[in-house]
Amino acid sequence: MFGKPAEAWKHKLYERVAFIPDVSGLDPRLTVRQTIDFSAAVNPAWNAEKAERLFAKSDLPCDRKVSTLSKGMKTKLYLLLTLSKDVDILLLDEPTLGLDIVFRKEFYDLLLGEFFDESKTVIISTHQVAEVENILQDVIFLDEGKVLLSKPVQELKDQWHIVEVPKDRQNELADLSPKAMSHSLGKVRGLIKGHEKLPGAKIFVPSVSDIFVAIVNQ
Amino acid sequence: MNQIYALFRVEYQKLKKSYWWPVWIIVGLTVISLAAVIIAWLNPYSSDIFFHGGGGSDSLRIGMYGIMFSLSMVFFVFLVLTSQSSLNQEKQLGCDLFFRCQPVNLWHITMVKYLMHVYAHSLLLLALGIIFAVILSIVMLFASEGFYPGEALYGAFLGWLLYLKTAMVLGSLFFLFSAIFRNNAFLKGLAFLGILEGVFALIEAIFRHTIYLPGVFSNILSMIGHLGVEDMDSVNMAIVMGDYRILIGLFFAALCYTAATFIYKYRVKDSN
Repeated sequence: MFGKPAEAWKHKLYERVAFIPDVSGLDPRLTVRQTIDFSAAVNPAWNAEKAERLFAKSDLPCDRKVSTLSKGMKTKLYLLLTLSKDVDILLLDEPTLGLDIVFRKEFYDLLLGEFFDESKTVIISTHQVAEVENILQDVIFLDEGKVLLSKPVQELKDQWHIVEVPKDRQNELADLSPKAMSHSLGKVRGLIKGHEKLPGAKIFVPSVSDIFVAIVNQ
Repeated sequence: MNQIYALFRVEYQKLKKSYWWPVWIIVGLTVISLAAVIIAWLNPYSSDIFFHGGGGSDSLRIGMYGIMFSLSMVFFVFLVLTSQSSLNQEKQLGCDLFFRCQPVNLWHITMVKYLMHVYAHSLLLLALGIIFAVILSIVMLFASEGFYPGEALYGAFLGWLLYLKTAMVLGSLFFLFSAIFRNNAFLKGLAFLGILEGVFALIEAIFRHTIYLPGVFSNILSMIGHLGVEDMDSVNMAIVMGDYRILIGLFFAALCYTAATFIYKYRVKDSN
């Protein structure tokens, strides 16, 4: 990482990499203000101006203890603390787990609006592929610790497509050896790798999660 | 330097209650005691016993040493509570990743925790000791026993040193327990030592006491040294500081801290 093994960086790695875990594990004994002050003091990459702007815009109550905040507020606090650092890589591990849809949207809006630019990398580890699909550039599929696939999203989507035909043409679809099939309202859909097509069939672009399921099931 | 200061500050913020609880308990007990003294003072018979029952600089020093001994017991309870949770409480609260993923040297984190969880109480005890010594000197002055603030402060300092030695040996041991056990570290650590003591006794019995194995508890307590209770009337620096065993105690404390840090470091990798 940055020209050295990650182990060799020791704690200095966190000057360039920030991490948001799946549980918003902030210390419940501290207040919001104390948590911010601590982060500001220990992080050389802390951007005070940006932090001030972000927290001023937020509705986080600075005098309240972290233990009294809702899960959404805690995640937001964690995100704002992380976004206040000028780091090169942001690592998110199931960041929106347990959050309602409003907070999820706010989370990704903030992330894209405040962190992302051409020089920075966001790595998201998630099972909720659908909610991040539109912001991904590259994907790595992992199954039981093994890398199954690593590709740019666009390349992946160019390789796969969904073919939809009426139920009575199911056998024609089966001849194309789809990796997965699904039935709905008189139609049959098959996920096909490659560019084989059926005349008169409808073609759709598959989602990343469709492709993931097909690859894992292979 | 800013990082170290921030670590100290945040530890204080986390432990604020456990620092101030013993102070409020002592203040409460003192108020009750003062009320009893005032009632006794108002009684002509008992005031003779209370305020003219001997005096001088020695009694002030001994009195302050005894008071510090009592105050230390209150602080010791909180020392056990804080030191046994030094390195495992954040895991219990689910916030260890937050602190772990900061660009701070692990040895700095454990050193600050060690100082704040094991020794910080002693500063409050010292402050209380000074306040008590001054008050007692003034009370003695009004009781016409003379004004000996130096002796009172000396007695308080001796009592404080005794607490510091106890914190150094036992607090460091509990700090080590906190790195090994994820919860109830004090009880689990004591149980482990008790089992070890039992195993040693069993081995000695099997070999019909032809071999000698060291007593676990007695050796740990011996590092604290003399409590100065038996010869309180002549308590002085030499008695409180004791002999070479204080050096063993210092080495033991350093060993506990180092071992705890290595275990904590391993545990960090383990849970990644």
